[in-house]
This record gives sequence, C-alpha cells and structure tokens, in this order.
Amino acid sequence: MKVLVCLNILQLVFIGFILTKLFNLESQIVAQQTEPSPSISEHSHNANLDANTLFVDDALNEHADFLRGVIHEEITASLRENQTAKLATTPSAKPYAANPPPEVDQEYLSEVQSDFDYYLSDGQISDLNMAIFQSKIAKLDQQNRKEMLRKLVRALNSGELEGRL
Amino acid sequence: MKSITKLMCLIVFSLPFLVHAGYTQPAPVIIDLDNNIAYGDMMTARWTKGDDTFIGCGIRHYQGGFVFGFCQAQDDDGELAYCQTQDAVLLESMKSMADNSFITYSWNDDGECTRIGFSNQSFYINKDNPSFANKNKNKNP
Repeated sequence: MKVLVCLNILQLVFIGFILTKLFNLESQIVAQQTEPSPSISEHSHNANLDANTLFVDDALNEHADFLRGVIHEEITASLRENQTAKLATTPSAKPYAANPPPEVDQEYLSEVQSDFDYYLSDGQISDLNMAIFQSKIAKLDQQNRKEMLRKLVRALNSGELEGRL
Repeated sequence: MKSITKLMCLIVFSLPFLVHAGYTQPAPVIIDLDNNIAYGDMMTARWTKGDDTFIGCGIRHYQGGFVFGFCQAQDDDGELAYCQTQDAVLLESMKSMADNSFITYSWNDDGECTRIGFSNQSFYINKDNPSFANKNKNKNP
C-alpha cells in the first residue's frame, strides 16, 4: 500500500515536472516567435525579407509541432500510468461493494418492516413473496438492509418463519 | 483362437463391473445447532429418502450493486440452518460450487455466515441416482 502511495506521489511529481517543462517550452516558443534568434536575424539581413520570414515561420512551426507532439505523448503516457496505478490500488472487494447508500426513507423502511411482520404473523413465506421481500430489502440503505436480512435469517433459523431464501 | 475368444469374452463381460467402479462417499446433510455448523453433499441430499432434505448456497444480485449470498439446509430430522452474507471473500467462494459439491458452513447468532466451504469430488457423485442414469442413457442411446 505504502509503495503504491509513493508511486502515485512520484507520478504526480513527474506530471508536475512535465507540465512545468511544457509551460517553459511554450513560453520559449512564444518568445522566439516574437523575437527571432540572432542566427535567424543574421540570415534575414542577408536575404530577401519575404522569403526569410517564411523560412523562420516554417522552422519555428516545425519545431513547435515536434515539441508539442513529444509533450503530448509524454503526458498521455504518464496519465495512463497514473490511472493504471489508481485502478491497482482499488480493493479487490470493490465488485461486491454496493453503491453509496441512499438516504434513509423512513416510510419505505416501515413498509418493509410491516411486510416482515405480516410474514412473521403468517408463519410462512412463499418463494415468490420471498423474492419480492428480498427485492424490497435491496432498496433499503446499507445499514437497514443488513439489519433486515439478519432479522429474516434469524426468523428462519428459529422456525418462526417457514420458507426458503 | 479359442483362447483369444475366451479373453475377448472375459473383457466384454467384465465391462459392467468396470463401469460401476470408483470410490463413493455419500455425505448426508447434518445440522449441528449447538455449534452452528451444517454440512452435506448435494447429490446425497437430492436423492435421500426424506422429501424435505436439502442443502445449497446461492447469490442474489440487485441493480445498484447490492449483492448477498446465502446457504441453507434441512436434514432428515427437519432441522433447518440458514445463513446470509455480504462478505466479499465468502461470496467469491460460492463460485466454486458444483452439482457434486460437498457444502459446509457456519453462522453466528445473527444468522450471518462465518464460514463457507465447498469440495467437489467424484466420490460425491451417486451412480445410482436417476439423473446420473439418465445422463448415461442419453449419452449412449
């Protein structure tokens, strides 16, 4: 667990580093576009102005495209790694974890409770009613459905209620 | 030539005995309410003389992610044993259940399963039960 957390932190630091680099490179590109480099400006003095401007623009654009491509690849790979690491840290029990429990609906809870009381007073529950009752239990919040399942199984075990799960 | 014929006859006539070979160990359903333990194999429970005897486990899945599993049994004396669980490990264990499973489980006072075990062995397959006979009949018309 600690190793995974460290890896996550390292990845975040790496992403931060890449982003910093990206911003630096972007600002450098902008600076180059606004102020041509001395070598390029020397050329511009010796050649035709229009042709040279085009050459400089092309070179800068090519350079910027190349850098953007490299940075994009690096960030994508890093994000993918980070996502994989996050998935790996997810507990194996997750497939069985229920959704966040909804708010306790007292009216619905008392409806389920009265159903249970009815079956209990009858002393038996048919397979169909058991399926319906279990579906109702499933719609309760986590705490109450746990409690209701306990009640149901306790009643079955004690013989108060006759039926099959 | 005669000796070859005798040998062939011996092999052919011994085939029925070979078909019925194999170790069997039926495990009738036992429910111990003092220790909250139930066990037995499904084949024996199914073909026992008692009409109400059974043993098994199951899982219920609901939209929204709610899952619970359960085991239940009734022995020849009419004793009942139920348990339910939402424990991920116990739910996972239920995937190993088969027709010829020996099942054993325990539960606490709240009816929650505390242990579930399965064992799938050839010796739990009852050769005399009707389903086994029908399967063989269908395979060899």
